[in-house]
Amino acid sequence: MDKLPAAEPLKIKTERFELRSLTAADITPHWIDWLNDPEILNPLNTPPRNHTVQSLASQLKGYDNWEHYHVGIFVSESQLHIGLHEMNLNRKKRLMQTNVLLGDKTWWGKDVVLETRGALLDYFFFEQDIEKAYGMPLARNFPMIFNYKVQGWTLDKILHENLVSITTGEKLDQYRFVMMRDDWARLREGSS
Amino acid sequence: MMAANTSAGAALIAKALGVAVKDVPSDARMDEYALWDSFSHEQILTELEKTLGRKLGPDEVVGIECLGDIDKILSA
Repeated sequence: MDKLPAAEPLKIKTERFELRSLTAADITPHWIDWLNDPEILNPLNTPPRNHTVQSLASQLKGYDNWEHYHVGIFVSESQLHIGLHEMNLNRKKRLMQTNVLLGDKTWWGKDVVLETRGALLDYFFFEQDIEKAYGMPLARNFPMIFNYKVQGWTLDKILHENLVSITTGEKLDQYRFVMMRDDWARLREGSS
Repeated sequence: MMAANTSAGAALIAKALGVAVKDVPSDARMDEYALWDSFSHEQILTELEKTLGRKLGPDEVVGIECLGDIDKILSA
């Protein structure tokens, strides 16, 4: 693709969810609650930041919907905001790093990540010319390992003792999972 | 789906999921067995660590995809 489309907020519908670029208008007490919940953040080794409406609004300004995306997961029926995806792209290298946070615990174990990340891979691989995606979950984040494996990502590398735990000071292992566009196309073809 | 079995791994999965051992298929896989989702995957691996009395290494964690993988770790 020679010319890439201009940056614009992302909006995608899946079977059960809506994915859209988050703005200050999306900030609710519900979002702030799970964003400050240590049980949600610890598996990501992310410290609670005691977010407020103001701090979150300020943080959202850092996402340009071009190389940095902060995308909310909303339940279509209720419009409840239950989680988010963050994508950081290197468009020159056609590379994308993905992160996901499922903040509403009532939706854990219900294939939210598989459904929504699948839609994002479709979008970035086939409409935004990304060729390679990768994610780097902590080795102790068992639900996330499940999602990468079941979705068909390839384990590229185990990064032994790559991080230090913010809660215990222990060294933490991390994985690097990779999905290539061609592999995703084959997986999609196989599942249809 | 194959018949249920009574391996140590099946008993462990049954305990983690709160089901009868006979209800765990002998070919249970994380991508096929309906009760084995991302949330229960954590319960299964936590139960496995409890049984082993140690943490799983990163190579072991990423290698677990089915009941057979759990049986293999338990019998090692």
